[in-house]
Amino acid sequence: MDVDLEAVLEAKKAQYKSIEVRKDVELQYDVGNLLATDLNPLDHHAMKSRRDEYLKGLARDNTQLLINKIWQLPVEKADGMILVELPTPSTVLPREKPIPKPKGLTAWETFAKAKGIKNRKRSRMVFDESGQEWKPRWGYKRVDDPKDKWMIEIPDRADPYEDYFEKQAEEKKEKIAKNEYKRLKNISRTQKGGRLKAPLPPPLTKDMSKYQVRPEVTANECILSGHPPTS
Amino acid sequence: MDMQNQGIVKPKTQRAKRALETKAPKLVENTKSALFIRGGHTSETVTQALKDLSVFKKPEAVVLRRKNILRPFEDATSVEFLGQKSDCSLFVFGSHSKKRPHNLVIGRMYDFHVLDMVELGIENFTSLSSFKSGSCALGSKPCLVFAGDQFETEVEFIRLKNIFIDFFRGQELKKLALDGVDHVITFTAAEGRVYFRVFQVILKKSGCKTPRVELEEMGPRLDLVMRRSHLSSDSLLKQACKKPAAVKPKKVKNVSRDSFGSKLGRVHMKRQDFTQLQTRKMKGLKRTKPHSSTRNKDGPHTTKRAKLDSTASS
Repeated sequence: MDVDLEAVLEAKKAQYKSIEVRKDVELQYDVGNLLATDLNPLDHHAMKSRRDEYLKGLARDNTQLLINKIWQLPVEKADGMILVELPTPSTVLPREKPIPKPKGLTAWETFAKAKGIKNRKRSRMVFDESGQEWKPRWGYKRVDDPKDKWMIEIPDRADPYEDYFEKQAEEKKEKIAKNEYKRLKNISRTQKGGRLKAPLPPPLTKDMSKYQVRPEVTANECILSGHPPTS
Repeated sequence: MDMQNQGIVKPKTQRAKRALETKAPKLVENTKSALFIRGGHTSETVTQALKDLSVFKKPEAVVLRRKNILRPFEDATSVEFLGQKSDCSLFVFGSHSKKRPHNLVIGRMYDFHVLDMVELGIENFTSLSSFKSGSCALGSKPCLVFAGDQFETEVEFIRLKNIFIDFFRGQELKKLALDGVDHVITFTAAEGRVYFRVFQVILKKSGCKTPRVELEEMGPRLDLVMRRSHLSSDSLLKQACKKPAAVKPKKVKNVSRDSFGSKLGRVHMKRQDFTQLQTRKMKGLKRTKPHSSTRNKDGPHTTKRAKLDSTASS
């Protein structure tokens, strides 16, 4: 009975072409890159007389060996597809960009780290007492939208001829300018090449607008001098 | 220049921010993109060759439509500039002149400075469109086959092989769909020439799990001859190949596998005083004081004498 079964299997196998390939020297494989290198010497006579046929035959043999290697890898099935887990590529290839250097900590980050202050996440919606409803903390229809502040209460002693709305706008600009200045200063301190020129002596003024950047002074100049620009 | 401006020029939209992030240096990099540039004068062969090669690089290919009068070997800065603008670290520059007919310069960059450049001349060219049969899916990962011992013995060819792998390998995949193995690119080196052939892979039944491979040529067919080359120094290449420490797989200490495959571990202990070990208490093994019921009071050597003996002796 066994003999019959073997004969049947042999007959069946003979129907199909073999997947075996004989090579003098084993191929070198980098399956992670689907790469195979054949070190066997080429048949130069065949190269001259029937090049394309020979190259096709050679390619078929080498590809067969590579496919054999790929099919030996561990298989898993997902989404009706048969997937094979590729090993890490072994060919050493250069990167396209240098390895990134870890960014330095900003002044606040170093302080927070030393003190052990952790960043707590604030919720998007805040309950607004005056309107008795939930409003977003920032963005469209936010809680402290300047559009809603049509009135500013000033004490009796305050100057009645001063434009308080303008003053508020100026203060906002100062805040932004100060924040931008600090941000640039952090970069110049932590990143290499951020500070290029020798620092110039800073003119100290009691004027708050010292943080405001002149329209002619660009961000780069700010970095290069390493000091707040003169207003 | 760009590195310096990082953070100084803050992007105003999320889209711009994402664009900057994709272009920034990373620990695990993006798939390398290739730039296809046409020179001042090009021949039909060269333009068609560039088009056909770009098919194998898509979607990581940028094909420039206009002609660029550049000389990569004389002045690489223009190519570097183009690469930086389009965020491509690989390039192929095609040109045609009487001195160098049907010329292709294939190169790669590190930090947008040319690393390696190899000039190849196209001796025979058959376009993709000439091959009626055979096709492959766009963007599928190719199998790469290198033949010919020149790829292992000659310096220029060794580097060229590395460039070809870098260029054609595509995305680095962890998992591969077995249906996706649909084409193979073969490079055969003989007598200073590289024969570039592309075949569609047809998998046929073989009676066992692994299929029988049949190939159908799908083109393009290029016979390339090595001309000039501008290869980087070994030290620069070594620097470029450095892997970041964070990506390296962490070595697990004190764990090994024996020849049978069983996992063995090593445990390091302090010196122990075996006389003072704390073990489980077993009452039966406890050392007790000498008891009268089991032992003779006279000593260990005296034996019990039977009463009969004493009466018989007298």
